Amino acid sequence: MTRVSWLMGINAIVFVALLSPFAAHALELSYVPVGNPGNPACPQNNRGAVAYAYEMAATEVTNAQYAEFLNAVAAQEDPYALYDINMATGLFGGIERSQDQGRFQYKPIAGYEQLPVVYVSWHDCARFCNWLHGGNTEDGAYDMTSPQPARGKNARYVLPTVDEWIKAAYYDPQKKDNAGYWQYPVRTDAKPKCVAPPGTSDAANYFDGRWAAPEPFLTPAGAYTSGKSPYGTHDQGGNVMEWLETVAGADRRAIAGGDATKFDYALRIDYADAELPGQQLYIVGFRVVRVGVK
Amino acid sequence: MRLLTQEPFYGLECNAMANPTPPPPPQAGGKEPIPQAGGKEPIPQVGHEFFPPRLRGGRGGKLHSFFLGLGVFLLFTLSAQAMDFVPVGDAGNEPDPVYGYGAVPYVFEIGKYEITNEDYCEFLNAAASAEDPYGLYNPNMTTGLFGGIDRIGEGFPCEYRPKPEWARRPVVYVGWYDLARMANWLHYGKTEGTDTEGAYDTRAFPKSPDELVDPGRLPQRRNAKALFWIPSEDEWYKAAYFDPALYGERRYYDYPVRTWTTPENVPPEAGSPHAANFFLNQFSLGKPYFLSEAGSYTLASSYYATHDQGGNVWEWVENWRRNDTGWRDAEPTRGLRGGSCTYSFVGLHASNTDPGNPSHEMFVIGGRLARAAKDERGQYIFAPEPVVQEKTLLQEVSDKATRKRLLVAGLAGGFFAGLLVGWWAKRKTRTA
Repeated sequence: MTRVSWLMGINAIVFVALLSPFAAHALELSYVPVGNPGNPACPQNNRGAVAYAYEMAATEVTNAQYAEFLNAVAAQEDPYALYDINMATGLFGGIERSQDQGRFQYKPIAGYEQLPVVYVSWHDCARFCNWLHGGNTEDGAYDMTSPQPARGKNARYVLPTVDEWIKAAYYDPQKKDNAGYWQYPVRTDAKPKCVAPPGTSDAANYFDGRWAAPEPFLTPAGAYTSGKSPYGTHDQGGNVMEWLETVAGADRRAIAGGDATKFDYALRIDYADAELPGQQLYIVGFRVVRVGVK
Repeated sequence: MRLLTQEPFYGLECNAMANPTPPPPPQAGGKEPIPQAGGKEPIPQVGHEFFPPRLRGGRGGKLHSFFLGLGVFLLFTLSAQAMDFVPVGDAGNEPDPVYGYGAVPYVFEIGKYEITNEDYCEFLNAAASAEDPYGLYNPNMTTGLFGGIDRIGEGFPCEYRPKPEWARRPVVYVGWYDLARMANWLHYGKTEGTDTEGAYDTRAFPKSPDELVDPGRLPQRRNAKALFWIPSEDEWYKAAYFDPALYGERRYYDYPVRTWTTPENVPPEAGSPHAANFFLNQFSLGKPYFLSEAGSYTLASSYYATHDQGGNVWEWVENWRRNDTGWRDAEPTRGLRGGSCTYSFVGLHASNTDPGNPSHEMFVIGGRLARAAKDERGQYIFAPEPVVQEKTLLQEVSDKATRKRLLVAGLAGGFFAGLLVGWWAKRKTRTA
């Protein structure tokens, strides 16, 4: 091999090494298409109208997926506190952290791998979306230097807006009344069935005077196999509340969907709630939207 | 509290004066505590007989006395843990000038601790072991998050036992109606009452959690002669936040562990006088129990020596939620106070009352009861009925409905006056 060949080889290795942080990573979430652009808003709350097609993650982000994110971006150090100790010690928490030769390792707690991650702040979720763009947590979808980050022009992986979330959960182009919107995100206007998964097509994990599922009370993402929205998303009603992108009031972000500890009112289309974005709560997780669909 | 058999021995051990002198208030918020005002009436020495009135005195005779004595003996010897009450004196205190609650014009007693699984088991074994038509036991107490009671036996009769390590933790999955029935049982050994019998009139209580009842048919408060009851919001607030020894116009703390600053979010072993079991970036207690044992924050108490009014579990108050105009489908709600182990410091703050559907039985909702104190002559001090003040003429006129009626009456009167004037003018013209 000539000297030039050696140099070209080294050049190629350096080039790949430099580009690797921006390369697509392994984590691939499952999305369902949400079409029917230009659909009407729900007459009950004037929400749900979306003028473009997009894709909604079929399930909430799990502990296994969030642990993969942590291992990718918070192994050396964790300057943004993406890991919260309650994930190991708190109620419904499902990720442990250990340290080996100065590096952190994150691992889902046994039995919690497919349960939704909790104790994530809005900022943690935004950084997860940024990371999905190519490895950098600080921009991509959201400019994290902004005091109130907004969706960037070239964003592809983002947190759902209230309208995107409501459309994916409740809108059914085949439904004739109420402008096509169901009352609950499992294609029903009656209270969903509070039963353990896999359940029926109108079942969800919420509290109806009794727990839907036995301990640990949260259910694996997508475990209600036939309980889904008209577009095919699972668990938008119940299991854990979900962070949304939409700013509520001066300084809060919307959360939606109810959870395993709340009665059915929180799963209804007319329910609205919000939290301070820095809160890391035992019953709030998230899911991702993919926009820019051709 | 220790129930021995269903009948005739039931009762409540009196520990009201177990801690008769409230501990000296700590310095907080830069304010210097002062001794109790000399002019104030001393707190009456309150205490209770062992048994509800119908089992005391009367025509009992020697046999009755024998059983009564045996009961007292067994009660003392077998009692695992008494349900303690503390006196709340300083009758006639002013309300909190900031949040408006806390004025109580009479002396009463309030549970020193939240009702525990052990306490509630006593109640269940007395009132729900042969049958349980009112759902006093909730299966979540066995299988649900934070539930601490096992039900022994299929069907009825059955027995209820606290789970190991859960006896002294607060009972949860109790609704407002369960507590009202517990108050009735403590009052006179029955869960059901009327407007003349028992502590609460249960006749209009919903038959199932889903039944919607017209709030106008439900009791607004305890019966006039109730011996036990769910504390009203003012009573609960006073017991939690009031301190007569404080300087200044406002004699209330913001948190029920005698402090104006956020309590310490630490486990009981830390021994802090200003700690509580709540969530602030982490759980005060955490796995595996999350709920702390009643009174385990031994140094952290209110002025009146109540424990855990801040944090651990939310507690029902008697009132419909003040200024409640309906919540979520106009559902009337009773107040919930004190926050919980899973909720932030906001729940512990004096400003916060959460709404609760009285039928809802949830994993972080429990409660404590209050009871009638006795005066120096041994007579019960009953809470007077709230005085409904007659409206002044100005208030009547400012009332929206009254204004509407006055407007209609004015318009009608004007119309008829116009007719009359027209008729009179026409007649006069003809006459001329």
